[in-house]
Amino acid sequence: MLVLVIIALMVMAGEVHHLAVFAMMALGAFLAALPERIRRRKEPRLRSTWQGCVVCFCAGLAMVLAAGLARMNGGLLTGLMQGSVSAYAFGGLAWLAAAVAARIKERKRRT
Amino acid sequence: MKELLLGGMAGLALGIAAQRLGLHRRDDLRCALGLLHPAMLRRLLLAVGLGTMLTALMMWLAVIDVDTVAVPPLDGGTVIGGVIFGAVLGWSGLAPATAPVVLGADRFWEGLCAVAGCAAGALLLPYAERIFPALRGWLPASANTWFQVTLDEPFLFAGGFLGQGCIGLVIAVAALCVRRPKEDAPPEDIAPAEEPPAPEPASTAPEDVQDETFVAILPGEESVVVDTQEDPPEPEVE
Repeated sequence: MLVLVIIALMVMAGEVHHLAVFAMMALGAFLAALPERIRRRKEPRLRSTWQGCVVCFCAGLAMVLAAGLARMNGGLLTGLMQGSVSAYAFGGLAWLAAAVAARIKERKRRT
Repeated sequence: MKELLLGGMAGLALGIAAQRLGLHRRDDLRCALGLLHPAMLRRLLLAVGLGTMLTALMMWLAVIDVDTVAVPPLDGGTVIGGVIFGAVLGWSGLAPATAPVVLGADRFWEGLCAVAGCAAGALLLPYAERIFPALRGWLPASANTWFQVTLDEPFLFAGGFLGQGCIGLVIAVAALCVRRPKEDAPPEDIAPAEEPPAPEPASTAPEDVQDETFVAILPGEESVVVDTQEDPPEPEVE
């Protein structure tokens, strides 16, 4: 967690190419998950479902547009850390909506 | 070139940290947002709190140039966008920042679709900007910060970087107040069961009850079957 914070600060403090950050995150996650994959190579792996793919595509599309509407694309975490009132308002509203949606979804999934 | 190298290294480390935090597991992230998974919520809040404190310190030390800090205005778009963003986040358990982590760590095709969705959103954004002013205009815009951390933007309270650090401290303390989970987290890469197995119907008929089974039926409760058979004796070692 501390690494996450420090690296996020490094990204904020330095002028970095955000596309490079985005692309290398996948590689970093793959490398981090590799030991676990090797250890469980004989067990059945999780498979993507087409419903999951549709949900992920629509979620990515909607969230980028919503963040663009709020002018928060790539700026929510930095806005929170820099004390921007709009970032706190966005984060608070998003959390409220996410909590309601997550509880509804979990209840639906369990029934 | 320096931007690419620095960004690549930062992205690599961010990906490793996000995977270790478990942000690639959509169900866990959803439960954390819904206050159903306190461990991850605790970590996320602690990250924001510590990050806020460190940011205030780095701004005070002039490591972060306050001239480059952009404060987006609070207007109608913030409210509508925040609600839509949060609803989709809670429903899907996916954020734009965690899409590449899902791609690399867990489910390749779902992660790829999420990244494709983000890219499609970025492509559509210039066209959507045409209707955004109408959605933003119902609330007057104000670009404030809580404390004075920039040179030009208005601020609400006096206190400067110290006050900003105090906000981070409050968030970190709030994170520490989130109760710890009683049980260990489930092992990684194991999806939670979609539906719990249906319990076998317990029969209360006398002929169905075995010798070493005790059937307890409490008023208003479901029937509970308790197996009272003792463990087999361990073989003696000579």
